[in-house]
Amino acid sequence: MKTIMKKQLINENKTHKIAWISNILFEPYLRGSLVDYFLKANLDVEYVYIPYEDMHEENKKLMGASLVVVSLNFESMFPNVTTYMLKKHTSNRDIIRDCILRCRELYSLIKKHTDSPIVWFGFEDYSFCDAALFGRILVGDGIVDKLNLKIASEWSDILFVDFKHLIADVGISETFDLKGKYRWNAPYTKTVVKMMAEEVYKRYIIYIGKTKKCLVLDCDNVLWGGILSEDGIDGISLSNMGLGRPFWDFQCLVLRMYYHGVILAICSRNDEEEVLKVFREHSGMLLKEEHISCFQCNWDNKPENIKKISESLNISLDSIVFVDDSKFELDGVKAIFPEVTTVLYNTLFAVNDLDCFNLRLDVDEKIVKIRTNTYRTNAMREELKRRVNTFDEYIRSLNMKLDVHPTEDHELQRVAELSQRTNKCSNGARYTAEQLKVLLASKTASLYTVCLSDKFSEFGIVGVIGIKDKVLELFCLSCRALGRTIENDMLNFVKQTGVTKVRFNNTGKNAGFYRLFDDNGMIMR
Amino acid sequence: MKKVEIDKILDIINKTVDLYITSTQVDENLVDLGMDSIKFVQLVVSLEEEFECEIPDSKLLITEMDTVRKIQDVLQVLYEDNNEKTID
Repeated sequence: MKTIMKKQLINENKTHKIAWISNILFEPYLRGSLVDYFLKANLDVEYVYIPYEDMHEENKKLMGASLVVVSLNFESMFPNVTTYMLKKHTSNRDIIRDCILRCRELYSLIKKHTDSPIVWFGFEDYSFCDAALFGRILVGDGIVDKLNLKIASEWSDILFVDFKHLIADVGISETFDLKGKYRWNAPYTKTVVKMMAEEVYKRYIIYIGKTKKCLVLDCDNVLWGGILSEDGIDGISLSNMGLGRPFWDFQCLVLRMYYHGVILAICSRNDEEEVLKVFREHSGMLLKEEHISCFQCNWDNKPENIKKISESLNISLDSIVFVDDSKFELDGVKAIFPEVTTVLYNTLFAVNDLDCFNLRLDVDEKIVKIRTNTYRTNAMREELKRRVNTFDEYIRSLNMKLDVHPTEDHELQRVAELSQRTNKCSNGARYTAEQLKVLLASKTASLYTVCLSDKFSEFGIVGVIGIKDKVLELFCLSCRALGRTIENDMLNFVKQTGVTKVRFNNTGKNAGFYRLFDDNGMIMR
Repeated sequence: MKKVEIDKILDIINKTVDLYITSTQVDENLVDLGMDSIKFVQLVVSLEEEFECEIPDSKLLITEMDTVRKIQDVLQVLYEDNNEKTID
């Protein structure tokens, strides 16, 4: 079995091919920067450059790409552009029409050859900013901004990058390399190219769903200013002005993270009742009890409490990020659980410190709520477990209802997200919603959604089963629903459809499910 | 500018272009061996950094530097020019 696992591990660590389409060059810096950034996430990367002008002849290079990057340079696309700019209104409409047509043609060409995600860098117009002559005017009546808006809204499936924002981060004076531009049409400096590589890396790992899952927060001097046990609820600072403002801003940030799928937990040296009172009664609290999946407020040590949070939420320690204002507490946690990411909070807290989270924009708020509620009601289930004598009795007393039905269109996004997020209880297959659509369209594949409810709450979608040509291609179960033998019920369902084999990829954490499939004789050898 | 040594050139080419060329292949065409326009840019920049020089724009075509010997000649001319200037 060891040899097979090793082989599958290599498959999981496949080379990620990035096809980069552009009408300018980014060498000598791009290849090395991409390799460096992807290595950070242990991803091996192969970079292929496709000149935009040769797209029709070289489109075969798109085959097998994990990611396509489009980065078109406006000046190179319209070499006479400065003349147009000077004429002001006259030709702008023609340029926009021409440019959009070219982008559409490129998009169709890419889509014809690959279903991979496309990171699309917007245009920039800073190279025409003759501020020394005209002052800081809106270049060409904002033609480039209009084009960017149009492209960003034209296709919902592209990962659009606001390239002007990236340049703002670098600074215009540090952006252009005229020597490179006149030598080989490589107009950007090393700093810009490195940031482009970083952005591509970030968007890719967001796309594949590689992210931390849970944010564990200290309370005193993190969620509010002051010490609750000493200052009392009326003495702590928390409001949208004055001394409480940094804490209010931080709660805004945490709330945004919650709405984009981050599970929140509290770990504080306080009495739980006192902390809950602040959550329920303080007018400055943006975070409410309903946003928090688990409270660990007591006088025990923090590593112990973080372990309890990890166990109660069934989230592995390496998916947890702990924020505290005390370096002593952070070091204590790090010493015992090095896999936990620790972040030091101070009032000048920068969001960059949380860049280990890679969050999607398109997260359904309703699902976030259901998920949090499940975690919260886990405590009641634990209580029930204590009261009953046997595990079977416990399972029966939960009055679980499992519903397995063919996946409906509106569930595709959530089902895809589940396949991306699940590391532990999965056959290791990862799909995007687009890939699932393609799979379903093939007619030889079937996809089933698994929903769960019990006497305490609705879990919503907790699992997915994908079958193609009598092989189990996708099997995953949310860790929220683990420990109720649902995986056995799902497996029985699979067997009833006549499937006997599973395609298994090692995620590094799904050895338990390997054993489950192996015990059922389903592993393909 | 640093003195031009063939071993150093070979080393840079092998590292940048991901090849294994030996001193017996100095007249072989690098494009046939796997050089492309992107690798050429990387090679030129590496040569400039390593030898502390600036290759003139007129030599920035692959055809001007597509063998180890041609690259050595370009660098040698630069080295001699540079030396003369230093002596002047």
